[in-house]
Amino acid sequence: MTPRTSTADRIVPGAVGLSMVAALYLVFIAVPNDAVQGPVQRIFYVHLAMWLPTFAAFGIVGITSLLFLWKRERRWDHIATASAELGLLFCTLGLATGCIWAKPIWGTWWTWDPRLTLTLVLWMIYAAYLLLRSLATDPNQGAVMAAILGVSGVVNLYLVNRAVYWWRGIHPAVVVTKEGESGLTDPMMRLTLMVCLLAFFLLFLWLLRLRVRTAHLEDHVEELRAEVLEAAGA
Amino acid sequence: MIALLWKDLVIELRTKETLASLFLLGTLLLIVLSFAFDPTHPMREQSAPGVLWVAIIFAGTSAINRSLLRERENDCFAGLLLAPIDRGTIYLAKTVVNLILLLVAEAFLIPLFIFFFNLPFLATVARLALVAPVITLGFAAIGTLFAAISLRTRAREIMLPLLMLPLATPLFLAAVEITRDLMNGASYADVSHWFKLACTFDVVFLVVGWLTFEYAAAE
Amino acid sequence: MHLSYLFAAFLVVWLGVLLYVVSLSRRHRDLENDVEDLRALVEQRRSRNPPQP
Repeated sequence: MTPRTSTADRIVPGAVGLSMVAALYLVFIAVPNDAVQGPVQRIFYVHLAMWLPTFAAFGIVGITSLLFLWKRERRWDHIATASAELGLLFCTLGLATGCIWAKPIWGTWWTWDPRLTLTLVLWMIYAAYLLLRSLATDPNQGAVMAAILGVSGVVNLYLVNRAVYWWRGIHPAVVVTKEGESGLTDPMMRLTLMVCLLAFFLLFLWLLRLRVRTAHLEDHVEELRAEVLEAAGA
Repeated sequence: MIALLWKDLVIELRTKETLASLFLLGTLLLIVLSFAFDPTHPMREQSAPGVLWVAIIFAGTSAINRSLLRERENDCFAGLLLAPIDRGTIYLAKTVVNLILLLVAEAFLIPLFIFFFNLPFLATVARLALVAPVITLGFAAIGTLFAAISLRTRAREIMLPLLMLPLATPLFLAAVEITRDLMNGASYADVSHWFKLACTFDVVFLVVGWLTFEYAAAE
Repeated sequence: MHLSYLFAAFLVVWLGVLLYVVSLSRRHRDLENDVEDLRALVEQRRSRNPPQP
């Protein structure tokens, strides 16, 4: 099962690099300062760019988990694991950049803003997924159980969303809305945001590909180990 | 399925161990959580709904874990799986048993809660009587499924809360919000959206559990 | 001006991604080594114990 070096392997890293350079240029040099928040607002472009991979990864985990439960083909499981790992990575970075942005702007590291809370719950589901896989006594069973968790997580997401929004809605004491998202009037700002979203999404896709390949390798190693034992027992 | 239900219930009634430990753990949690909040503070009632449901959830998690663990330890599980019963039915039977256990425990814990927090007895019981079954059902549904899963890992005791609690967020929020609003005098109509959410959660996870239990429990 | 926050945020992102890529490539390399070693081992054992007809 040696992976073929396809055209995608040649193009994607290049595309990632190019878009990252463009993003950096735009964020640090080209885009003007935000009138209200000042230069700190630039964090926002990168911060928002973390969410597309996070939620895309979550969706992928859900779909591939379902496919794995149904078809039991290893590759769905590989994509699910890879996606969960990357989802956790981007979710962590998103939360971290959010906190770092929040401190100078809102004066606090954390609020129980519905979106933040939802993301935190999402983070916990990702973490539980990966922990379940690593702690399973039998790896094959582990894959199946993780798939159940994956499907449950996605199916549950809408309910969590509703619950968290209603929770904050009824207690308006510390409701703070994220400003700046709909207030991007400057076309340069919109462009910067688009480029950042693209750059980090391409990065996600590239890393996903690499991680899936690693998963294939892990399976291959297991197969070989089994062969060694078999050959020894002959 | 009735046979399965009956079997599990009879075991419980004979030993009563799960029920006893459930009640004691719940009581202990109520006490410890009461220590966590200053009893003389005027806003203490605000914490009451949360305290009740945290106690129920943590004691319940432990109980569900134990009830499934006991089956595995006695190898009953293997025997059960060999029998020509639909796996989904096994799941439903176990969920109902866990539900009944939890409801019985709540029947004792809620009065204790009322006692500790000095609440009006009949009014509170009447209000909680409708809330508790709906919430507890969802909790039993998700707990039974993930307990079966977590028993196949190396960190059994930790795994169940870890898997359940993030997923049970909507249920927990619904429980606390409904309880708080009802205790503050709101009508059922006011909290109907939370009720619908809890019911949706129940249905969703009963279905998921029913469909996937065989994968979770396969040897 | 809060520029230190701006710096911190970007640092966090780049470090995070970098550390992940490094750990991933290390894992990949180790796995490839394992494949080599195991293949050799299979060959060795097969030649020592030829499969019975």
